[in-house]
Amino acid sequence: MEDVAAEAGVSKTLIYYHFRDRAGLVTSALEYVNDRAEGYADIAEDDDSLARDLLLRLLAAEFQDDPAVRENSAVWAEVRAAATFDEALRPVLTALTERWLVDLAELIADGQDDGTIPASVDSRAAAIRLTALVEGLSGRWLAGLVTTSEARAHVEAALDRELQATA
Amino acid sequence: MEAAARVIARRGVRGLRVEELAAEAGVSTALIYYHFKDRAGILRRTLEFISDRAERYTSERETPARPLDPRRELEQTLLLELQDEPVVRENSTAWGELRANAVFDPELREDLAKATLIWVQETAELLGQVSPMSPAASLAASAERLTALLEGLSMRWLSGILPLTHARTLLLEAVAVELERLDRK
Repeated sequence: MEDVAAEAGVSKTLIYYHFRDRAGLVTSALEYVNDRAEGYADIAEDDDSLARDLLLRLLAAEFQDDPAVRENSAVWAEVRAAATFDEALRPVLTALTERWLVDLAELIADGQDDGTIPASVDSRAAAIRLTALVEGLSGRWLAGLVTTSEARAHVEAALDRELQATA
Repeated sequence: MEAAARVIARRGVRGLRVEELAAEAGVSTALIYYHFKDRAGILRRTLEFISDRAERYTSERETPARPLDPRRELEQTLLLELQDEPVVRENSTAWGELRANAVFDPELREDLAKATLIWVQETAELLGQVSPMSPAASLAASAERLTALLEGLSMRWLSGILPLTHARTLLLEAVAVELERLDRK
């Protein structure tokens, strides 16, 4: 809390007043980065690209050589790891993960409507796997084990495999 | 080392206090400092410890009458990371913590990079036994994706968002999807 107050140039009391406690602060930070992340992919409301292309852009946008994108990714990874032993962080993480999953599953369903994605694809399962892959890759990307272009190539390959027709 | 893994899994890397670790291990703090020199030393040795332990619990087999076929061997090895056993939970939680902290800690990052590389290579070898005609680069890329997916699924399981059985099913489907593509080429 001290670090946050110093970084923001306000008093510790003000931070406590606004966020109540550490979990409150982390929850707000996570919501903030999540809102900011929705702007990354730069997809306009009236974008009429095919759903499959939108999906790729959306997922690949998680890996960019941009300090704000890296920061977002680090905050998300940190909260995800902390939630394994801090149950107070779980509600916000669950809600935001669910929103992400629903968005992707809807895009997959759109692709099934516009014919770019086979009807046999299980949209929910594919959405969980793709987002879990993004999170797994993100840890490696942030640590410099995987480059931005490699991470994006993995996302594209995974999308390609997930969205193929199955017998 | 078991004590360190337990404390990290319980409180995270930032919650790791040498005093608590000493109490958990039933030794003096002086002895801890003597052995590990500093905090970075503790983290480094804990990473080695959990990697070795994971190696053990993912390769243990109940001596089957016949060895598993390569596909089953691959699936089993990956699935053993998703088990409701205290030691697996603790290991995976500590791994996730070290991974998240490596972002801010260059020394830890290097050790974690090595451990990850070994894991990816071993997974690529198992994939190669299932699909011997696939080029090494394709196997390595598949292994990178499967292990990253496994990490992502494991974190969701550990943070109470994804039931274990569902995580296991999703992983097996991913293996099938990756293998199908490897075999097609």
